[in-house]
Amino acid sequence: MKEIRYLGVLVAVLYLLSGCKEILDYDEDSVTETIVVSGILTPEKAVDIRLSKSINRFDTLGFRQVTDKVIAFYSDDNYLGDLMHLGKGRYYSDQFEISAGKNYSITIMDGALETASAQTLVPHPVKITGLDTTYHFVQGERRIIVKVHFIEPGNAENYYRLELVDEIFVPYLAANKDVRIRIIKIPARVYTDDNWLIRGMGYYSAADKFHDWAGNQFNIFSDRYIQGETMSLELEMDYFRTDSVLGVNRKIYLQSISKDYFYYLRTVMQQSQTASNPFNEPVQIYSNIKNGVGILGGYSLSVDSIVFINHSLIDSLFPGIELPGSLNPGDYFPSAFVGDRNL
Amino acid sequence: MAQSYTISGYVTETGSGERLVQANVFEKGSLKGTTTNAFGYYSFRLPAGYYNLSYSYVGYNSLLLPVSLKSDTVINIELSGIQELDEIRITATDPEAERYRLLISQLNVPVEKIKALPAFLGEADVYKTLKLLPGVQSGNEGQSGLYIRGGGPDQNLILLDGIPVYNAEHLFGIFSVFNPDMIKNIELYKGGFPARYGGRLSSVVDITSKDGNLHEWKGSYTVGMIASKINLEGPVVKGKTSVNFSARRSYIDLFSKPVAKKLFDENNFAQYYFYDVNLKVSHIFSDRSRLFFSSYYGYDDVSTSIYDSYLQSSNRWRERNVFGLEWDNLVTSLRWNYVISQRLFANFTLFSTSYNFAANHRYTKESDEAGYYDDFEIFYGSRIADKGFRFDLEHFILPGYTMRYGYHFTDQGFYYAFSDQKQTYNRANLRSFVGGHFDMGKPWLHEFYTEGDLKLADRLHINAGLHASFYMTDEKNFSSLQPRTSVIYQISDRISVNGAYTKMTQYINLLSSSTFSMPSDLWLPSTAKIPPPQSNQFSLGGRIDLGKGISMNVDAFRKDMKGLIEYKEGVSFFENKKDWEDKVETGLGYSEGFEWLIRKDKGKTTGWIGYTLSWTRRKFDNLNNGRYFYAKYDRRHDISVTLTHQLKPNIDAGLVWVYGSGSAATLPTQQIRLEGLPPGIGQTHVLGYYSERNNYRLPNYHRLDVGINFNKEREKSTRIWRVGFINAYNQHNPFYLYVGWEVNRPVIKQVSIFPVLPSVSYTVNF
Repeated sequence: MKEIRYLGVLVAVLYLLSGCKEILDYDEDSVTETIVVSGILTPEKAVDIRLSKSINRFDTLGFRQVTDKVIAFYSDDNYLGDLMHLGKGRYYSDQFEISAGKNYSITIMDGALETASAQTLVPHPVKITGLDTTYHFVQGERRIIVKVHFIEPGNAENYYRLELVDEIFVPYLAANKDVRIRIIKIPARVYTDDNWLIRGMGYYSAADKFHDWAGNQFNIFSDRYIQGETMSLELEMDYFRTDSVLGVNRKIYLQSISKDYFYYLRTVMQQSQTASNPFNEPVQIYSNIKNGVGILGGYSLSVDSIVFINHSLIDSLFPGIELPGSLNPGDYFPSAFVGDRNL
Repeated sequence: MAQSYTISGYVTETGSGERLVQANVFEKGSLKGTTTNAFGYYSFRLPAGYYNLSYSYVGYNSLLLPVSLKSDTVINIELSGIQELDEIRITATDPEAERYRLLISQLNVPVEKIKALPAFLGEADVYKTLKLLPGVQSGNEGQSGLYIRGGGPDQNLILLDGIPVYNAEHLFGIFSVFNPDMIKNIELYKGGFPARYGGRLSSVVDITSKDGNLHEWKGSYTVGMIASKINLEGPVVKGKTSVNFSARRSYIDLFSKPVAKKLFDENNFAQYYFYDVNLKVSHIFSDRSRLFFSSYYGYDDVSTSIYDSYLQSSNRWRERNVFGLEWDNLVTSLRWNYVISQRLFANFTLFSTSYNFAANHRYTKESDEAGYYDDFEIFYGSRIADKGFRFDLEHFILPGYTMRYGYHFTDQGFYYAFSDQKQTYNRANLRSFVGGHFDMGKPWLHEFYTEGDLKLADRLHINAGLHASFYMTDEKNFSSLQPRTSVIYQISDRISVNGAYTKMTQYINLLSSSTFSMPSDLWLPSTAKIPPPQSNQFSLGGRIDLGKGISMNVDAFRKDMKGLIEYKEGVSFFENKKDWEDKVETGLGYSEGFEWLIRKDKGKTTGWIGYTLSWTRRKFDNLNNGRYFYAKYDRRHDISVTLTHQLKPNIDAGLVWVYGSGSAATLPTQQIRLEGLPPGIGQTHVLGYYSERNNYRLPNYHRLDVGINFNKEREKSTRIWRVGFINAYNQHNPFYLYVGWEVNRPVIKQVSIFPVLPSVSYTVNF
């Protein structure tokens, strides 16, 4: 915002000196379309890769999916099979088992001609060894401080991503007047302003107070300053939504992500934050696609959770029902209460 | 074998006593001789005998002096300038003298000729004329700095009387800080740098100022469209002490402020102005001892205020945006020349030079009725300040053999200040402040050099030397040995070939945006994390004398550089610079090309045509995926045509036409849709994409300036009207580009700032 103000005032000064504006001719044929690949591999999930084509910057017709290619899938250079095209540029298979520590690659074929390829490593997960929880108040609002404990392997360059997802158990009235439960999943926010590791994506040490990353919306970080350390990563987050909910299961995912995926996410964030500001350096979207652009990345994850249970609402809606008496993380609501659809 | 004796002395201008730099002094038959040094002194040895000594200097009548040499002899010579009203203007020296000069990628810029060229808004600018020479680019419209053989603006050593000047341009590159009335000589080195120069990779611009008239008071004043100036020089003590003073001030603010007020309201204004002052005092103690004091101060100020008051939801709101930029240079030196012996000339210099910059922006928004108040202010300031001393010794050993030695010491200081204050009374009283004043380093630089200038035979001329430097910082010390070699071989009377190799190291960097070049660019020292940039340059060339005052120079060069810096991707130019080392990448680059210059120095029509064909590339591990990319100022073709013509004895006209291929910029020419993104910015996101950094070429730049000068001699003064047009055919050259919208589709829009501009000035020389 400040930079846009600078720009606005600078332009006003320059216009006083006289000037003119004109539209430049642009040779649209000079730009070659390129194939765009979006594919992230992780254990226990199907292989799901999207293909589309880039369009000219000045094109107003819209994007086009790529529907006529064949994607061959390999594990450690062993051919496993082709992905099935489900339509609209989505190539899918649930037949291939993805394992941590293995290399995977794809080749995108147009007939017998290879048009693009990529490879990635799915890193081993780094286990969350425990969570500690405290609370404090900021401007009258309650916040949770969670310390996420894990041991950074220290054996190589490791990259991480934090994700917080709230599974919110909300009661609703079914057609037969029964009270049922639906689960709503929404991202939970991490406040990173004072968290040196998240704020600086791991590129700045705890001693550094002045770096100015615009914002780390993907919560990614590297192990540059924490290699081999026993970490106690302190996260500040909003308290649970408590009105009219039976409980919240806040899942904390510590993803170990591939290096390519880390750089890809970093450049996507940076470009989306800075592209409109001429005083920012240009950001090139990182890509590991040969003869294309985009990402074939991988991650594995470790998860732990903290739970909020609204006993008074549960007692009023389900009188006499016995719930797990423990409040330890990982306790879930009995499946009998859960409604027939997740939102 | 006849005994040899030394001939030495000063070459000065008749009337003023102004010492002439790089004047040719040689024996006509054998061509043994030398050129005067930066202080107009010469010395060489010949065997006893009878000789015809030739003294010559561009723009002056040559002098042939018969000498019977029987002992060490001091000959002080005065040369008279060529009268401007002569029918035929001879602007070249004796051709024999001209080819005597070691012309390895070195060009002398004739100051008097420049004043005949079309003046920009009435201001003849000798420094800007450098941009008309092959191998020298000026960047885009409104962009300051020289870009020489692929180097950035921080890679040019710009010296005023031997002292570095850090920002050599006013008004975003429109005017230089060098008042042409004060300039005596300009030498430009693009390669083949003599060992006495160091500290920059790409060029040396060595500007010598006039000492002042030793015999009578003279002066001039000029009234132009943008600025006026005055110059006074004369003897404080005749023949002993002279003073030269000039001052210049722009008055854009005098009309921009009322225009802004008229267009907006009383509380709005926009203004820009600059002024500069030069003072030089010279004193001659004796033939052997002279003292010089010189000082330059220049200041620029840009400020705007935009105020708005409006009703919204029945509340009165007031918004104000105040923005200010200011920068200044202060260069001061005290120099003492001492002729230790006829063959040993010494110069001692004490100096200080500084460059300061400050930017301030304050935004307030308030409404008493709504109970709202928002106020933020950001300040950014930087300073580089050098002080030190220099000792230089010239040893005129034999005719055609001169040695130079020297030691330079510089105590540098780099400072940066930043503050970001925010105060708001909306809902809660929040106040925040971040900032501080930071010392970015106080390194010491020691430089030693030894340089030999040797003419081995009648046809072979060598300049070779070694420049050694030691840079001491709090964290780490750096050292560098930089060999320098230039060779010229005279194949025939008209043809010569030359070659050069130089290694250069520079210990400072200019941190600037890849998209803008502004006076707020920050000078920073080399550190343990950011080692000093270095270059190795090879050049090969030749010169042909085509007769009738026409000569042609061709040069080919290759320059490899390492230790270059660029901002990391995504970094904002306005971010806090405290941790700048973590925000830059280091990499390497190269530049190679071919330069051609044909010039005519005799007759009614004089001038030159220059052409450069070059490639400039950079490579950084973490930029552009580690691949080579074109630098933002890579320009494939660069052409300049400069002509002056004597229409009548009192009327001369000038023409300048420049052409440059479009420079490079990063423009996302494609869009890509990314799918399956994690939560944070939207799981499907459209972003701009470019396959290469600096992938887009701005439109080609070309411009024609024409001017005509009317001279009128009065009894005690000369009046000159300079009339012309800048950008005579109204070419819309790009200042910047942006992507805008036109009839519901995105388009590239270009903003130009200079349409056809009339240029008028009136000068009185008295």
